[in-house]
Amino acid sequence: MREYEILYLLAPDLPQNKVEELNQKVSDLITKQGGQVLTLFNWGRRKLAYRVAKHDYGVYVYVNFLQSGSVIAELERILKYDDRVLKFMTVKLDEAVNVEERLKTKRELLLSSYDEEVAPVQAEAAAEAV
Amino acid sequence: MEHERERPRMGHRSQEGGNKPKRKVFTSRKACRFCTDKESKPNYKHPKMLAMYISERGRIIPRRISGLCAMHQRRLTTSIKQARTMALLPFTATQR
Repeated sequence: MREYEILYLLAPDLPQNKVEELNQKVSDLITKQGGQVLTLFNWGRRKLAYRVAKHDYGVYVYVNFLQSGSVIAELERILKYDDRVLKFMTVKLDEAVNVEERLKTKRELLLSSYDEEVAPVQAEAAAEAV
Repeated sequence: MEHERERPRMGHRSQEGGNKPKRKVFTSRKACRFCTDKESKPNYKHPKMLAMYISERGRIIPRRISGLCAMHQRRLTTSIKQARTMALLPFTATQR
């Protein structure tokens, strides 16, 4: 099993249910191909560093998952042809993961890598939205 | 440190009386920040942390100024570039 993470950027005016629909589609695809979703986290609305397709803001969704790698091409194809997805990036984190051990350490890793950064980011996004 | 002093950059100057040879100022090299703090690694998902290593115009700060070790500067560069592709960090300072 390999560990991947994928971050995609959605148009800010996309309704919440459409966002969830896409997230569901992504995680379904991963699990259908024998993968396991570790995290699916919506970073929320953020100001972009530069304009993307005339948008100043965007919604980031982060997915961390285990899969053999066969799903990547299909996943990227879906994201590529979906015009609500402005940008996406897949990163391979680990080549060979022991699934059981990874699931045990899941929580710890999540806490160390996200809490500090994502929480203030969300607060900031909320402040900007007001 | 000692040998640095014995290598005058502008050799002729030191022989001329009066003009003091310009001595290179050495500040002690601080240890790489990422080596000191084992917990943190350069990561594109932490744009705020990466923003400390880019100039106002959005350029990556060189190693001689950032004071990072070669390994971490390399990883930092990759992370900044990843963050740029995802619009988390600017490529350039843009006028809005």
